[in-house]
Amino acid sequence: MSLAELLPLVDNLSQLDKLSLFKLLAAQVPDAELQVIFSASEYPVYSPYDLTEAANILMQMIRDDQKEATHA
Amino acid sequence: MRSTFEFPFSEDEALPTIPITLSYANFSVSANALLDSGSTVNLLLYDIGLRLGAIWEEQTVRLPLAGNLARVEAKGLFVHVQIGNLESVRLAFAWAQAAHVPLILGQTNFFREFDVCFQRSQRTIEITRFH
Repeated sequence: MSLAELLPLVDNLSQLDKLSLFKLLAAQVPDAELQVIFSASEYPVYSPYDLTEAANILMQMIRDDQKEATHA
Repeated sequence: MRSTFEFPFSEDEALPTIPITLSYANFSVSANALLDSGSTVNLLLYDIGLRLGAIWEEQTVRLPLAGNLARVEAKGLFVHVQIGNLESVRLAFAWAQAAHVPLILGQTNFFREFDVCFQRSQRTIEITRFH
């Protein structure tokens, strides 16, 4: 089962069951990772202004997609 | 034809974010996205991609990232984006294996598809699409 299929099921759980599930999952995550998640009250904002190569590849992906749509 | 949708730009918000709905395959996810004209690309968080039903191993276009994302793996992914009542648009995202970054709408290709007017003094963000 994928996460996407599981999430709607989790949404339907009661608050108590969600808490139980949370405890169960938290027990499976290393303490160090949990600390990182819960200790940060602020998160850095990334502004990826210099991803020119990635942008060029995405543009090529868009052009290829448009070509395919034209020929379909 | 021109369609416009206006969002409130709250005094409490430090940065311009708007609620959007992302769709891929048979799944939809609602999230707040940062309108970042300083970002070269649209950036999709790994977790949101998974919730949309996208499968990492099936994405073949690898994207090299740089700066503080240099160590993060990313792949190209097309996702439908619905903004307000504007017509849904298919945008290309860098789907990145990163957790603590915002969902970003950047130059490629959000700002190629939409015109955005930040009216901070009027507390509104106006988004326009010509089609």
